[in-house]
Amino acid sequence: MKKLFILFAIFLLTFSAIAVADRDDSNEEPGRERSMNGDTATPINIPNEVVVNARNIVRREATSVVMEAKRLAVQAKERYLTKKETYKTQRERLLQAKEKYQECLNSDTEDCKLRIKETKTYAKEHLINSADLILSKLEELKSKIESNEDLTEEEASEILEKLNEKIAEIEEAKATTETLTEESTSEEIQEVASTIRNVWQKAEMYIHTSRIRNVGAMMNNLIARAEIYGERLRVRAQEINSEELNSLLEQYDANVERARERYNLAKEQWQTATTPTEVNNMRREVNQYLKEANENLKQSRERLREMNQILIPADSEILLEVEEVTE
Amino acid sequence: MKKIIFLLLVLVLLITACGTTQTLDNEEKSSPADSGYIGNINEELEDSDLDNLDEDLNLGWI
Repeated sequence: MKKLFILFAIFLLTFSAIAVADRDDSNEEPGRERSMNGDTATPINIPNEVVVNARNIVRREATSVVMEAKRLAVQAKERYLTKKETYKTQRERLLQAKEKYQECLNSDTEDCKLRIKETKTYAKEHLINSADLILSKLEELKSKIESNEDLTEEEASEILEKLNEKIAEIEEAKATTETLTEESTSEEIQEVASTIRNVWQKAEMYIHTSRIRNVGAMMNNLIARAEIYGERLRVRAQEINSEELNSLLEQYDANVERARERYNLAKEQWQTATTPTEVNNMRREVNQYLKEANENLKQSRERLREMNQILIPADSEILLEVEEVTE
Repeated sequence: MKKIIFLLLVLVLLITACGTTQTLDNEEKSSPADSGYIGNINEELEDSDLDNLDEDLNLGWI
């Protein structure tokens, strides 16, 4: 029994030692970089041009502020979803009250007077919930921008400034809503609703542009990475001179070029749109361009995988690490 | 002797558990930089959640 116990302990010790060693192996050694399958690849001589390209990848340093923002972004999303549920329930209640309210407008019965007061209270709550919903959406987006390392400090500050402006405007409109009572007139309620609606229309524009710029920044860095991989693959292709590899590289380059072209078209559009109508008009088109750019990146990654399958046996797999400039 | 082996066993189990958790954590985090593209681009770009808000804020009937 004792022997069995000792054997079991030795087995566990060996097992955990292997597990820990395996984990240590996955950490990158200085000077060696990770390749696609997680192994360390043979370093290659990277042309100067590629190094210059690499400098274009500017990312914010993952400081404690950015890390904290990532954590807060998850919480902000959860808060938004809770608010949305409350909003939906209360909105439903108001819509149900609407029918009876309209029937009661020309009646003087006590029941109708009560229903009118009740509906006005529901309307006030609906307006407060709408303001809360917009605020939580803006806060969620703010956390996303704060935690996006692909945006430069300048870009992030510019977007955050606009979002903060909109938050202040919505809070002001919400404060006005809180002054409403069941005795408030229909005109007073309509005026407050109209104020929130106007503020929302402007805020919506910034929500769309912020979201597009957030994705755009990620996309730009992904394309820059793909271009750098292309240069590295070209060096390998020249060394190996395989027909299959050259053909895959051609397809890869076409995908990356197409992604860059679609991204540029999207950027052109979002940079020129400044009014809510313009933003609304460009939104679908820009989203389409960015999705097409993303699809091309996805396909280029497939080609990259196939090329590495050819390169691995020759121990020529390319490195996927890229030098970045942190702010 | 038995106590030492028992303590050793507990220690070994703890190390193994920590190692496994760490590995799982690393596997779960796959960023666009790793995959080469944005996996959830539809979610990132389109949010139809508040599309009806403008209409919902029209209380002209009240």
